Amino acid sequence: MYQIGENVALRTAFGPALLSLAQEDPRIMVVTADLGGSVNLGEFKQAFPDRYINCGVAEADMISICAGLASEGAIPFAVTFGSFLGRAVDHIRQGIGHNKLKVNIVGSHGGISNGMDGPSAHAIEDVGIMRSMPNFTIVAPSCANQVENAIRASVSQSAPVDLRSSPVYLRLYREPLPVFTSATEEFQIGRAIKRSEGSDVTLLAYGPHVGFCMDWLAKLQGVASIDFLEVHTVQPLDEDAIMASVAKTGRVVTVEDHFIRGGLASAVAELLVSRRPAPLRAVALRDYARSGPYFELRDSIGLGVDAVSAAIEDVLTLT
Amino acid sequence: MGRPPGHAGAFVDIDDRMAAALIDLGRHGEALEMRWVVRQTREAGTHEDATPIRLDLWLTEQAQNACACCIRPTRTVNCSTMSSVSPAATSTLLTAFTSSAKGRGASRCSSRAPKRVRHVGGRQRAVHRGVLPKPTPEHTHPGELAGVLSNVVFIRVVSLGPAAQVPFVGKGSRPPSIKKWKYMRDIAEITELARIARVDTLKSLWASQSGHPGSSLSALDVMITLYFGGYLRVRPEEPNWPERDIFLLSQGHAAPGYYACLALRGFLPRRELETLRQFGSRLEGHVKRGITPGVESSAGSLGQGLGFGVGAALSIRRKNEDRRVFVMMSDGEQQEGSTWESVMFAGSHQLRNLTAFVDVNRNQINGPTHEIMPIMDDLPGKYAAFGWDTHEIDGHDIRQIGAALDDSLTSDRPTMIISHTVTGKGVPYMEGDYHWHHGKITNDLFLEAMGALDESVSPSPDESWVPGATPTPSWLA
Repeated sequence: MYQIGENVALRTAFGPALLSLAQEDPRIMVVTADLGGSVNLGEFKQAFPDRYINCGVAEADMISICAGLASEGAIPFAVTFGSFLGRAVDHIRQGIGHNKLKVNIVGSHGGISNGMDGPSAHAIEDVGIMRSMPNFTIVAPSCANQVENAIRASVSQSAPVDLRSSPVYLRLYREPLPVFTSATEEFQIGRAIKRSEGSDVTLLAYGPHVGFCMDWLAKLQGVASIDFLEVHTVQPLDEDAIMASVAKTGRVVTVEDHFIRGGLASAVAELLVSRRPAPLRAVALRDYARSGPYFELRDSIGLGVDAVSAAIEDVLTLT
Repeated sequence: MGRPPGHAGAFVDIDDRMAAALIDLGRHGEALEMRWVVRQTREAGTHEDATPIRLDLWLTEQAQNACACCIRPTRTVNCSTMSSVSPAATSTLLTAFTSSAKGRGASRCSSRAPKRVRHVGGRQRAVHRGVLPKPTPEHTHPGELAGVLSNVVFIRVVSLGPAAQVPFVGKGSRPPSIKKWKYMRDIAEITELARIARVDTLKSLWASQSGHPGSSLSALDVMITLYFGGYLRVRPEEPNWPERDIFLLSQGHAAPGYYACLALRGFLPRRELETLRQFGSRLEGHVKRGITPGVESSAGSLGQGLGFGVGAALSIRRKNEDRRVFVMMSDGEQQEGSTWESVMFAGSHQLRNLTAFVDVNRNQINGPTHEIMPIMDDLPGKYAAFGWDTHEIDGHDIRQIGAALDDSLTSDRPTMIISHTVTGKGVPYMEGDYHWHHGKITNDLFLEAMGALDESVSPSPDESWVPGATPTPSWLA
């Protein structure tokens, strides 16, 4: 696996991780809308040329082809950027969701991680879209060392959803990020991971912001005592872990590289209101971003440490 | 017994001589659902006017003693026409079947597992499934083949050329008893089955007072031909039979007609058609996977079925299986961009095991297609441009449907059959009228439709108005 501190992008870890699974499970296939190279699938393609299909710049067809493959016993991974899945929503809904077929959809370059390409390539509503449809499990690893575990879990029998027969949306990101989890850390779909214990504010994050918040933790702890949970599975949420934390803190801050409506903030708000209402502040996008290097963009559009710190301060005033 | 040869490309029943020459049809029973497609190769300089034929053999499951991997028919020969038939030509063809039977024989085959035939690049590698009679290589006399092919229950000869001739002369053989395979009907029978399906469709639409009669009736003849003409190898008692062919109703709104077809074929009781669209029914308004036996994919949002079919065809090809995928689309559906994504993929990847139809009834919801998107009138040119083998037929002419399907079985690229049909075919007040894409059938309209279909029912609703009231033909039961 990868060394702690090494800079590895999630999308770079994806290809070799899938290849490793494919070597054990002959059902694994890839259908990509011309973006296989972007998730490091070159080796996979070489090793299994008949299990790798580039369907061209045709995302809707990609999804329908995956449905057809799945009906014949394959486990297809549909690979494209998260920003390009919008055009295939009907195909996802009808062909996979309504048909109840097992297809894993990989939306790479999530959030604004494809910074310099600009908003047309930013996936800021993908989690919201997938959350709005029945039957989909949504997983966003935060660290390269989680990717293989996430992939393996996405085709396994596991509580709470049997993913051997149920589709998964896997969100990956473009930029290299420092590895901060160990390769042996347990990764269970649907189980949040406690990153720090605290008592004042429940901090929930997924994707690269988990690592960022770990980096910023010292500064954030200066504002309040942070009970920090990595919520890599946005759907279904680990409701018990979240509510246990909220029972302690009574306040929630969510952090995500996603539009404010539809993603984690919305999911947690739904949960809180139905279980134990608590004030919530969301660190998320309020609008389309613009072109720019990822980290610079992150910090200037409300996804940086200042935004998280401000959200924590704000939620403290609400109680 | 057999009938005289028919016209080009049609179902040509074997004649007595052919049958006598080839087989001893003593067996009946469940046929192995596999085809031996014998491809035509030209032998240079000989039989130039010969008629290429294809022989489809249905074999019994009870065939004895031989392992299929030992039988390898690899080629056809040109068969000379009736007027110049010669024993040599006859025996050449038959030898082509049997010479491939040279092999190790069952006793030396290492595998005991059921196997079946694969078609790879036009040649057959009988690797799997299907226990077949043990051949001997010396056969030159047709009569001697009786023992070899004694488990053939049906042979269909299809002429691929302009002159349909059946060239065999039997010698010293006795007339066999030909028992048709249950789901390989002839044109008259298919026509009657389509009539019954139309009656059932209209009864179910009358019962639901909601649904799509126009497309159900326009696409029906093609669907009935697929299911009863021996093209779609399926098992109603085992809808998920792994070796089945796949049919995808991409124009999911033609569900009522499709359900009637499935019911006749035995996937569900005909009476159940009465529950169309009702809460709790297995028959939803648009086809749904997992709830209706025989339905492979849910549909209803156009432009997706062909992509699903491409995926299935890819998978089948990868697994080297002898299975086909048939997709039925509508003409309005050609306006969906995602359709063309799938078209270009299939053409690029030469998915020869994919055959698609466009049911060109010239109507869509808001009006005639040629008024809304006139440029799409020339569909054949467009599909051909994307690398498909393209046919244009009258979608209500069983013979033409069969001919186009026969061609598709031996094509090396995906096949598109542009099927010109009439909205609401069979019911004069519906025919050609886009308002009948969907609509409610009143009692009076129902009676008028039954009259047009030669179906006698009571003047007011009773048991005779229920789907399934028309008896299933005895030859199908």
